Amino acid sequence: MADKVVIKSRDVTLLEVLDRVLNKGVVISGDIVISVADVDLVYLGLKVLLSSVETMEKLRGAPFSGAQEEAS
Amino acid sequence: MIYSYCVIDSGDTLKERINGLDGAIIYTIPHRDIGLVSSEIGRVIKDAGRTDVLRHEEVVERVMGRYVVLPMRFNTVFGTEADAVDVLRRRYDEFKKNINRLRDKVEFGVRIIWPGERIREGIARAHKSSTAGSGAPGDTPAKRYVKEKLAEHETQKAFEREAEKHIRALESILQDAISEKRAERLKSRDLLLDAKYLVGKGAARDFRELFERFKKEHGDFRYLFSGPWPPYNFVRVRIPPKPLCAKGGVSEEALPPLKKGDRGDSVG
Repeated sequence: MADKVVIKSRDVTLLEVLDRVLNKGVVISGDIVISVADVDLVYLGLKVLLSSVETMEKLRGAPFSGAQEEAS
Repeated sequence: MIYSYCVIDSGDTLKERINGLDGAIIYTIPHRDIGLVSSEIGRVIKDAGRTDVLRHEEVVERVMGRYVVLPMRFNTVFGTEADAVDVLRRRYDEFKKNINRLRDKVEFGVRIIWPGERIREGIARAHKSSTAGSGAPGDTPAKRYVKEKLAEHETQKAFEREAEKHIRALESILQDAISEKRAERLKSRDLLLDAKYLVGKGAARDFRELFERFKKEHGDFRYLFSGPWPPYNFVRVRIPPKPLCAKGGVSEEALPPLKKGDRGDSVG
């Protein structure tokens, strides 16, 4: 059970990382950089996963605050 | 090719040895008093793999320990150093403005989940019982339909007011500790708030304590609190594709205003 909580916590943190690293920050578009559309496609999937985690937490009724993390 | 992690408030050589993607050594590409933290990369990244994404974030966080950072979005790769320098040169003022705004600031994330569905049902029930008997037996179907729609509308408004009450309570508690915020309310019925806060490093402890106070007062909600992060959500640098607002690019609305004489879209 404890392992499950740790895994859940780590995954939620990973999603917080992805939410920032893939979609925020300085954005440079166009032919000045070499950009790859596939990353965006993967991210669409991750957004679905993120909302799934929220749904999972809700259904399970587990304390979401257990996922409190430091980003370091 | 040059993989970029962040822009920093220094053009000096990094004091610390850091490995980036594929173990490549991180170095600074300088322009005046700013620099682009980068490493060489010999492949095209085709997906957002867990290892690469986490390495990107790790580099930014380690650099953040010493410098003001403007994190780059994952997979921002330049063909040559000259391309990178060109961006730093043309957008220097914008980078400097962001650096000054974000100096000594960190980002925190807060998500609050409340039993929204249940609360809304409660409001709907209360509304129904308070208006019981208001429907006349002789109502036409059209009139019944209008009454139902009106009841739904009022329920939704009351639900939003209830959400607003809690969000205002949180904001009044946090307001002295935050510099800026990005908040989305009721993204779904149960996701009361999805917010990012920009907080001075010196106020980070206060921010946590104030948030804990709110949590104690609202023990029936669930929370995801994360940070401190580099200020990903507060960087305002978007360099558009060429031509401006081309299909699939960044919308004009999201772009910073261009200065006179700055084409702002391509390498010359």
